[in-house]
Amino acid sequence: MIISGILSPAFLKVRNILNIFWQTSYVGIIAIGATFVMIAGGIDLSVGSMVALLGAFAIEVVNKLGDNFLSVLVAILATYGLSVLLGLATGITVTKGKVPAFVVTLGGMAIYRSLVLNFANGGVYMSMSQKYSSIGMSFVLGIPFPMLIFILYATIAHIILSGTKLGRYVFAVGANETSAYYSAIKVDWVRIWTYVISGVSVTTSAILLSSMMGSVSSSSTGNGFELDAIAAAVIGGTSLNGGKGSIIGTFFGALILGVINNMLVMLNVAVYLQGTVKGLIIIGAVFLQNLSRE
Amino acid sequence: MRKFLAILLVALSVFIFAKFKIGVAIPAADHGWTAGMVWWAKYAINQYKNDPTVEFYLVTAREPSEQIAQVQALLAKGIDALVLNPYESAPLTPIAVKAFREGVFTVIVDRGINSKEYNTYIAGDNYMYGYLAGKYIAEKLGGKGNVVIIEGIPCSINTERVNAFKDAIKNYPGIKVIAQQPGYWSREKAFEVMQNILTKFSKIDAVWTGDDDMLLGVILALKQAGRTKNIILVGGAGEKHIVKMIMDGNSLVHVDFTYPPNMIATAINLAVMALKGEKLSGFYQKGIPREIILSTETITQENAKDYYFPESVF
Amino acid sequence: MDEFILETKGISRDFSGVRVLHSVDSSFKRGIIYGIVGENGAGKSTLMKIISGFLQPTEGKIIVDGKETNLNPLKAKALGIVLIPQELNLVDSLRVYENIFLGNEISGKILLRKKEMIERSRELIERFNLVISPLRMLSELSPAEKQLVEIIKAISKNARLLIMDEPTSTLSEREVENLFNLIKRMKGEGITVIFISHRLKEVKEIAEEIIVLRDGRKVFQGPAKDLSEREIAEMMVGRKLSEMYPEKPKPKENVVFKVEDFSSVDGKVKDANFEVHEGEILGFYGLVGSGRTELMETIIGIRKKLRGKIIFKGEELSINSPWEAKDRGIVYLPEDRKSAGIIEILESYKNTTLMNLEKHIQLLLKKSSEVSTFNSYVDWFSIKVRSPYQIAKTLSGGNQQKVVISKLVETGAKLFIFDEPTRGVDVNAKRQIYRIMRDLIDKINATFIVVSSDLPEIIGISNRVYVMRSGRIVAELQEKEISEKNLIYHATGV
Repeated sequence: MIISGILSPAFLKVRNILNIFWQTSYVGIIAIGATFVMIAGGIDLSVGSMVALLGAFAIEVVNKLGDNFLSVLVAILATYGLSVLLGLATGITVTKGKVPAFVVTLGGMAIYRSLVLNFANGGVYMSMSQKYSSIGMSFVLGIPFPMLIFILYATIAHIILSGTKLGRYVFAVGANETSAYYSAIKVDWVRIWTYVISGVSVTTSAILLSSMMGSVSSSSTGNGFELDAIAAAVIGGTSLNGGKGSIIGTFFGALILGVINNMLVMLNVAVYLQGTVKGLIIIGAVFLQNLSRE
Repeated sequence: MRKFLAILLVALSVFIFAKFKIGVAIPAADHGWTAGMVWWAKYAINQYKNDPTVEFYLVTAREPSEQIAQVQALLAKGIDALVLNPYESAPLTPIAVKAFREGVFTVIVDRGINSKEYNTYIAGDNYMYGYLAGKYIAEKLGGKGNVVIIEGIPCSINTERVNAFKDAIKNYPGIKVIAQQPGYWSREKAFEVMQNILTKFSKIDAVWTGDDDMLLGVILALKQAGRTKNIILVGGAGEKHIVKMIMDGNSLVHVDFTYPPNMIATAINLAVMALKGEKLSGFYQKGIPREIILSTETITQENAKDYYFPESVF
Repeated sequence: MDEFILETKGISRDFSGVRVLHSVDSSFKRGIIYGIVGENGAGKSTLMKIISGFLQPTEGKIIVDGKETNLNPLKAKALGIVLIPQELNLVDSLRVYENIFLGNEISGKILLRKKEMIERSRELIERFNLVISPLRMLSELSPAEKQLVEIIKAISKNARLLIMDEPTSTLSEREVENLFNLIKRMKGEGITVIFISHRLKEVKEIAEEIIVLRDGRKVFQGPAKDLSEREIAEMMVGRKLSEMYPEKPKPKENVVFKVEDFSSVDGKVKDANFEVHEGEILGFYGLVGSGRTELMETIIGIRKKLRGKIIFKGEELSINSPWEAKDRGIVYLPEDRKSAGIIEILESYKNTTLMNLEKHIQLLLKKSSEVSTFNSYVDWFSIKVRSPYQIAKTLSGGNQQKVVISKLVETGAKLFIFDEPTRGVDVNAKRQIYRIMRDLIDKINATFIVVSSDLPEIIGISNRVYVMRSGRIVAELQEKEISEKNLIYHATGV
């Protein structure tokens, strides 16, 4: 079925391939941040709600400041600033406060969502700015802007993870926190940084998504992103126990998820069975990986 | 002695100014339409803010068990009327029946319960909601063309609407449903699905989405693909941006069908009228009707301003 | 003729293709106390697990009561062969009698017969002159009492052959004496006891016959009374002790590191005062829980310091974390290599370079530079590794330890605090590690503080030794005063 789908002419259209990249980029960028967190042995469940919160924040700032280039720039910078603060808060609560990451980010997931709902009364944040909306819909050299950012983002993340001290420390901390600590690595800060990276990734995704849609739905935007991001990382070979993983893996993990979603539509799979197909493919992908490793 | 008098006075005043207590229990806002319902519930309650004879308790739930607990708490407060939009039918039935048996005036809204033990039931018309959309598209296309269905979250309401839509187009053998995919009542999801469908099919004549939120996502995908010409778009439920587009004579959307979230406001009014012993004007009978199915109304450019509530969230 | 209760004939055992036990013959008679000694990794535990049915031999046979038998844990239990592991199999939240009958409950048709179990427990306890109420919660007992409960539990299952793996490692002198009395009483009842310990003094005291294992081979079985401790030790390491250890270094006159009135917040270290000379190997000896590791962890900034001064190269230092210690040139080799030393799932070279990545950064980390650094240690320390990219987990214990040491040397530190540097390391690697330490003193002017429970080691390598007991330094022994007798005397206080 999958093979027939892949071979179908509709799938192979350039346009369709670009669409898959495009649609994947939002979760993919978040998954790249999640990869850092997971390699360091943590988990971030708050990313889905955070997309809504940060997207809404960016839209509201632009709406307040007016429809011009400067206000869009200010809004984007302010949103990155906010996400860094949220990442720091999460990281510090996890490390210095010794609350398990699962609990902190589960709490964050509930808090961010309820804040978004509260400020919008459950409704929608609409962007009134043409300038802002033009970001997410734009094309560069015929390539959708979000896709371009996704590839660029993955490249930078790959360099950080494999070529810098921080990247090496992320692996060390996730592989064996005690050994890392005895090796004079500031374990807490390494883990805090991973949550900051996760927050920055969420901002990137949130700005692309909210500017493309021109709106953020307080109730549904970002729903389920956390699980898709974790799934992408795991399909890409990141260990849920920490210490293992790669950006390249996550990049392709996210693309596989995108291909699955595309395939479900292309093959017009019946609604009720879509979950089954998706679930089986995810489990199968990880299973095959383990086989090939042995 | 003076103390005793004071207490007596307070007790008396409570007795004299006894209020009707009305509990309103609805699901929390998890997508546009439910957000609209929450907004309209607050709106209706706000109407009575200067009325000393009624007092409201509004609760919203994120899942059935939470709603059951909330209704139990409302009953414990001694409410006189209960306006309930059940999160799910089966689990909420026993507690609703219990309220009815305790003499609480029970108004069930939109989603029914598995029992006839209630005072009044008020709901939208899911069948006509789907049927009218199907009929409109079929007629507009002159009985021939390729139709895409983007439905909501798989559930019984959604199924009823989709089946009704198909009933309506059954009479037109030239109409073909070329794709039917879920958009989960989400703008982003609908956008993504429509993007994929657009690459697969070069000729699409009409798109019906289960609600207006998803229609907005579809419009975005069409604009992005540059395929906004010669396509008939129909959503539903009267979301304000879509209504505005119709009102302004937008070239993409010309019609919408209501499934009004403000039915909750009507239900609240019904409860107040029942407690105060008022009857519906034009009715010779004294009581509030047992069952009210609101008709699905068609929004067009001419009447759109009656359906446009810019301050509402939906 | 004495009947053998159990014999092993040509027992071998492989683990993933590596032979860890080579054709071991051994025999055990009824009512005799056996001591089994050998270095870490000599195969003691593997042999005991085979005898008690938890592991199957790759080759060879086991003969129980004259019949060749294939053992599994259940069958061994039925035959009265019981292994008491180092980690006791007791449940803290249950009472003593419940633990004794755990998995062996006496029950009526429906309900457990509590009274009967309590009575039976009391009888067993009294039979061995012990004073523990069967009704006490296990969590209220001391480690020694728990050990006794574990033994009673074994006896309650009609044990005929009781194997005790390092039973004394957490016990005080008096508790050891208690245990020995119990063992002797069991012998009186015809029970055979196999006693595993690395304390040769104890083995000599209790065992009638000794089995020495080295590198998976049995090198000796015979009566204990004819052997001196030194002879046993030499059989264990397989060479004259003098060959095991390099010549001791000649420390310089100057004091390079000094600790004054040092106490930790948790009370595990009290008023420690000591000094180290440049180029010296300073030993720290003490029983488990005497505060040696805790003192070192406080110095390195892992534990919170209550008060006290650290003076290094004439300068008073304030160290509150491992990275501050590293910056000052003081590094620590932790006691538990697996959980705190090596990072098992990382490649070997990444372990070596972890503490000094700055050296390999040219805008980004340069892998070739890291690998060449690693390779220089492969040569220097004779690290056996297939490639720099080999996952550290798959290295042997000794090679892992060498990698950890290379990581510490990479920091450019001058003071090395080694906590149990040769634990879980084979004899050969042990020799090499001592030589590496010597080499570091000569080549990079290093100074060592070595914490060890290994008596021959501490005697063999230290210039001086401090002995700790209950969180305090109780003695300082100069080179000529360092002997097993002196060390144990100060460590136990009796």
